[in-house]
Amino acid sequence: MERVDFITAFGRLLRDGDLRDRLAADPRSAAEQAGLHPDDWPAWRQLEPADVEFQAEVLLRKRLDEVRRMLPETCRALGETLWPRFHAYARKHWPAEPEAKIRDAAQFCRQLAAQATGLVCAAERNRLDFAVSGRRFAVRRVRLKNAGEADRVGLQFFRRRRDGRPMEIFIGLGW
Amino acid sequence: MIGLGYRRELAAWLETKPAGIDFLEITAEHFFQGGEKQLARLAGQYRLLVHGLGLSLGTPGDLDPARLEQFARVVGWAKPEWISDHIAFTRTAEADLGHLNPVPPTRQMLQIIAGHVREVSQRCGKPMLLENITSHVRLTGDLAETDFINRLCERAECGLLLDVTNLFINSRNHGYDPLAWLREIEPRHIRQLHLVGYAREGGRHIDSHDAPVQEELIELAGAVVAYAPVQAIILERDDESPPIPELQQELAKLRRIRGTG
Repeated sequence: MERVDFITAFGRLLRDGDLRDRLAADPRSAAEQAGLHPDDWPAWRQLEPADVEFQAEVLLRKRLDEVRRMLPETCRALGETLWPRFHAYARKHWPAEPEAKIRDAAQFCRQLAAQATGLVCAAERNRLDFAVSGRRFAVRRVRLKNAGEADRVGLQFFRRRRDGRPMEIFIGLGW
Repeated sequence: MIGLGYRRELAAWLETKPAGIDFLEITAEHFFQGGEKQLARLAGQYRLLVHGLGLSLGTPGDLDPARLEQFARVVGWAKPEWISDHIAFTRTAEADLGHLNPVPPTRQMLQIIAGHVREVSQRCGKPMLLENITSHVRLTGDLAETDFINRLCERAECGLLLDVTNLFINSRNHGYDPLAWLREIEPRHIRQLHLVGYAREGGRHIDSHDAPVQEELIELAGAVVAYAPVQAIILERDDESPPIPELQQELAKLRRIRGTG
């Protein structure tokens, strides 16, 4: 395996929950898995797994802040279960560039939908799916839930601008 | 001199030129998509400082050229007295981690950061300060942290932006005396302070950037000001801008540090 500098290996540790579990169980094996250069072993050996986990959680909370901006209704609906659900997802998944923030929100949304929580806002999910799809145009029928009111049905029209940014129009189809 | 971290929601209030605000600190990344006119206007009213969050000075290898150009463009618009970023990395060769992470205090890291600081300072044509971060991990190296900072300031010809809150938090989480730490730093390096209240979570102190400044932080900042030639103290209330009267109370606390309140 290619050997990497301490910062790269430490970055891998902060991004990968399974690797952190391994650090707690067997630091040398975790160093091997991270590809740490042997010269950096003395610094790695000093890492306290609980401290590394807390530092990693700081990064997860920053990610959640971004996800919350893109999934406000879904996150609101999840209430107190938001953090444990996001933590369970994010500890094992690190979004790839480019558009890592959008991919993160889209992947979390898909995972929630797969868990059949019934709490995913369909309009938000459609918006993110379109953003990561690369398609130029899409139409989705959507039923919006309004607390205390009747559901609202409509169509979401998505189009990608020349600069790549998506735009959206919603047309209601009645109540 | 007292200042405030600039946030767009404060723009209307700042237009009224409230008394007692000498500096505004601009977060460079907030203007990467534009804002030349806004910055020119602010520069006409206040002394500006430009603070970066994501140059990732501790990442081995070249700085991200696109990010450096964006940063330099904002500096060109704001015409600050000095610029700053952190003793940290936010990115590796493989991924953007989205937040500040600690670097080991080693001679090798000293070279990496010093080289990057000189490059940024030269590209922007401004002196640079480096800020200490909060970290839940205390990395070790062949230098003590304070020795590392002193050497870094000398080698990179930069100053220290001492985040008093971060120093306090780290001292509590890692069990050391912040005043002893302070006395190991060359006083001439310390040019600017950051202050904001801390929070507690899971038995740890955290830099939530959304709490009123606590009295123990005022005391620690007072010790720093008595020790070093600090030129600016910035209230860094990022995440939850309080109502204006509360913000004014917070600024009054900072003025008390300097005995001008």
